[in-house]
Amino acid sequence: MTDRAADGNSAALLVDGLVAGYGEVTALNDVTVTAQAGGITAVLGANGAGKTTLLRAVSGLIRPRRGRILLADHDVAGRSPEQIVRAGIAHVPEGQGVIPELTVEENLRIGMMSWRGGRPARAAAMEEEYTRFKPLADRRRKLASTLSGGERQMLVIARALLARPRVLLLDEPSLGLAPRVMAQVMDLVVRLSRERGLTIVLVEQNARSALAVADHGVVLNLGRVVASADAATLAADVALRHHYLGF
Amino acid sequence: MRTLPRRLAVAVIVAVIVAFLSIKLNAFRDYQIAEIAIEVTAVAGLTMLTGLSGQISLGNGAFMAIGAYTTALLLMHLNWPFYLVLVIAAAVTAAAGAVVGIAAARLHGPYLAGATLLLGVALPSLALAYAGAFGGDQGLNVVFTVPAFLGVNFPLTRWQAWVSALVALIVLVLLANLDRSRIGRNWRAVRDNEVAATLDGINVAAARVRAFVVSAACAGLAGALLAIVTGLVAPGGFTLTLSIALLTAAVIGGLGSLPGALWGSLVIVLVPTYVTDVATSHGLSSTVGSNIPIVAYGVLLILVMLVFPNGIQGGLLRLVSAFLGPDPKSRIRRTAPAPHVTPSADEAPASQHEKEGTS
Amino acid sequence: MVEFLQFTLSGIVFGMIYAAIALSLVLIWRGTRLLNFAQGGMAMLTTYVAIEVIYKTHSYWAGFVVALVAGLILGAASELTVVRPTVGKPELNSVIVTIGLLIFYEGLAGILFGGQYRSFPAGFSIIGLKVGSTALGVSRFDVFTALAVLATTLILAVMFRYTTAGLRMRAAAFNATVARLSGIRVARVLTVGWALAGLLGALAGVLVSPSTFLYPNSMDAIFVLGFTAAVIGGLDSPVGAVVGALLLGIALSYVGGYLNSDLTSLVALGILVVVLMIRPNGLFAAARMRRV
Repeated sequence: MTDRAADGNSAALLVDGLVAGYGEVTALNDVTVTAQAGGITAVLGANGAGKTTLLRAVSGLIRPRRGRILLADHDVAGRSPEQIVRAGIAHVPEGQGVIPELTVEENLRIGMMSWRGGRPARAAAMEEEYTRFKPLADRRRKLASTLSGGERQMLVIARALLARPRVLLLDEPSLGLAPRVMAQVMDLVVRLSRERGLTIVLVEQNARSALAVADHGVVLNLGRVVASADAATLAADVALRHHYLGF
Repeated sequence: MRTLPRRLAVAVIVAVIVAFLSIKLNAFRDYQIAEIAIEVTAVAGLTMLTGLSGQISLGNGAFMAIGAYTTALLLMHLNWPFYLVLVIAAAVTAAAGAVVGIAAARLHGPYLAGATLLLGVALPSLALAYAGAFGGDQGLNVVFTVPAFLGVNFPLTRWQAWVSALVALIVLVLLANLDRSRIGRNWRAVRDNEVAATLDGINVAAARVRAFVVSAACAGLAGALLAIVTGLVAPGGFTLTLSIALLTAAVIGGLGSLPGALWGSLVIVLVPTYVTDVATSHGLSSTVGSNIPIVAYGVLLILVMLVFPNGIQGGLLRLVSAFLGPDPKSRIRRTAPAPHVTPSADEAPASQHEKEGTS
Repeated sequence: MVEFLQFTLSGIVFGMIYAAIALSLVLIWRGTRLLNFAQGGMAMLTTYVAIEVIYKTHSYWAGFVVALVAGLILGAASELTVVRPTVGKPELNSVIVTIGLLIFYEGLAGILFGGQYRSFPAGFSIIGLKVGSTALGVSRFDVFTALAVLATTLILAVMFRYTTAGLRMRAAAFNATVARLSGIRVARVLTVGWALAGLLGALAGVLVSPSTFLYPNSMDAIFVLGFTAAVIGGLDSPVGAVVGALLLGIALSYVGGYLNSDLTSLVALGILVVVLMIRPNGLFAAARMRRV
């Protein structure tokens, strides 16, 4: 039974009634989010709203207390991260993703750890990413610590893509980047979705730029969903923007 | 301060009981009473150091050696009254504890464990290296006699038991006071979160050194008692095994708990001989018999850490509260160190239930 | 001058043994942030297994190989049963748990094999080698010892740097979260790390036991010095472990040779204190790189 969103697209990822937290703190309370296949869903809200917790629950870093996480009818709630990435969800965590002590190439190879394929296939896949991300190709044998902020973001996204996911969770990809680089990253996110049909769940503090690229948006506040609508509607709702999104 | 009279009353009662037992029981039991008292003195200091201030020491056997050798040398060369010698031994060891504490103030976790481990192994070898002064392998003999006023027929073992028990009780009362004082609270604060403690205005380094000083003084006293009870001070008596035994007793009894020090000491002193007797009476060789307690200690340490974090004392408190019901004024308090953030917490393997901030 | 050469060479040999222990400790530390106090005990146990095999088969090499395999198994078993539950708990817990494991292994050895000192054979001649008429102070077996540890170290280094399995272990050690999100089964990696550490310990055990005799506590002293070497080098650094171990081995050899062998552990303590005062995290402690 495939859950269908209003416009008839099937949902690649459905988070249903999720309750999760840390120790005695409940960070997510009955959260439901639908991510359309091939689209970009933005998860917005102030600090502490639960955005990162949501992604961590979906990717398995935290075990949810209640609720389902359906990936094409398959409930993956409570599985380990290693299993979930093999099921097809890749998570690019906030702020930490590059392993600076390893080279660019080694960082990328890690992305393929969930594969079963042989060397030729892996080498080909890596070349593909190098073609897509030229700066990484230039630095392939250098330590990842030598990359700039924007290049690091490219690296973690490339690595996540190498896991061949169906759903990509991006946590604050533009954090700490200069505005021009931020724009490039957003551009990249859009292209990933359009060109590859990747379903993207995008957590962003910068709600304005997120809504500019997203198809659909969900606003969280203190662990609950306070709004869920297509991006244009949310962007037009001035009261909502002022109250929860800061612009 | 209200509780001090109560503690003294308890101590006096225990002292009377011990005196009674020592008169009724035979010389071997007297010796065991002394052994237990010595162990309690040392373990109590260690359990405060590790349980309250969070600093692990695998070298308290070295402090016992310092106390023992100081005692032996003073008695041998100067023949001062033993109570004076005990105090001096404690003071000398306390000074050594200060030195170690200062050197160790910046060390944490495995680095601290390693340094104290090496201390425990290296210090006794001083006695071998300078055999002239310290008696080398054979060690130094200690002569300890019953004072005249007790009469000619008073058994030496009973006197040794009385002296040891008295010292142990005094130490326990003093430590109990420290535990409840500001110093004890500061130790717990430093153990739980050094950064928060600093922000609270606590001088973390001073608190840590103080803990080492106290623990060393206790170990030094225990070593001094060991000297006068066993009559011999030699490097072979202060091996790594001793330091590990102290830690084992502290953990099994309940880290950070003074009653726990007593339980742990009882186990460490009484169980081996009992088990060996049982084993040999069933036909097992004495080698096997003497190793069974060792295997048991290993298993106990593991079980306590994994399943019963507060050791025997924790188990007893839970039994008591099960009978009496939850009592808001009860003194059930956390005796095990709380989970604290180590400097390299961000390297720990991610668990399913990470405790990090929300976003 | 000849004495200096002899002390230096034998210091290197002992240094290599400390290096094996130090490396096993670093391996486990990097993977699990844990200090394995039972490392010496595990090495002792595998050496007992070796000697039983040698008695039965009259083959040194059979015993040697079995010891290494037993080391792999014992290491993995220790991690799976006792250490895994302590992950994520206060670090004091794992220190005490591994000490408990140590005591357990030593008691077990006493029960199974008895407490008497047993002699352990050397795989090669222990007669001192000579160059011309100068005695070198080391034997063929000593040379084998040094080379065996060196070879094992190099093999492990190559494995870490150039194989996928090695990359998995490095990733898991540097950033377990990212490793898990990439599908690396970090738990399995940890078990492998402990197995390899067990192998290194077993190697140290069979190499040193001809000199120390074998009894339940025979690996205690070697463990302490291997531990010291690892701490001096910095627990995060395999290179540091080897350098620290060689420095320690050579220094202690001079002290034992020129001064007094009873002073060696005191000198080791002195070196440790000095190093930790200057660098509380060891000589090769890398400046923590910021994670972005």
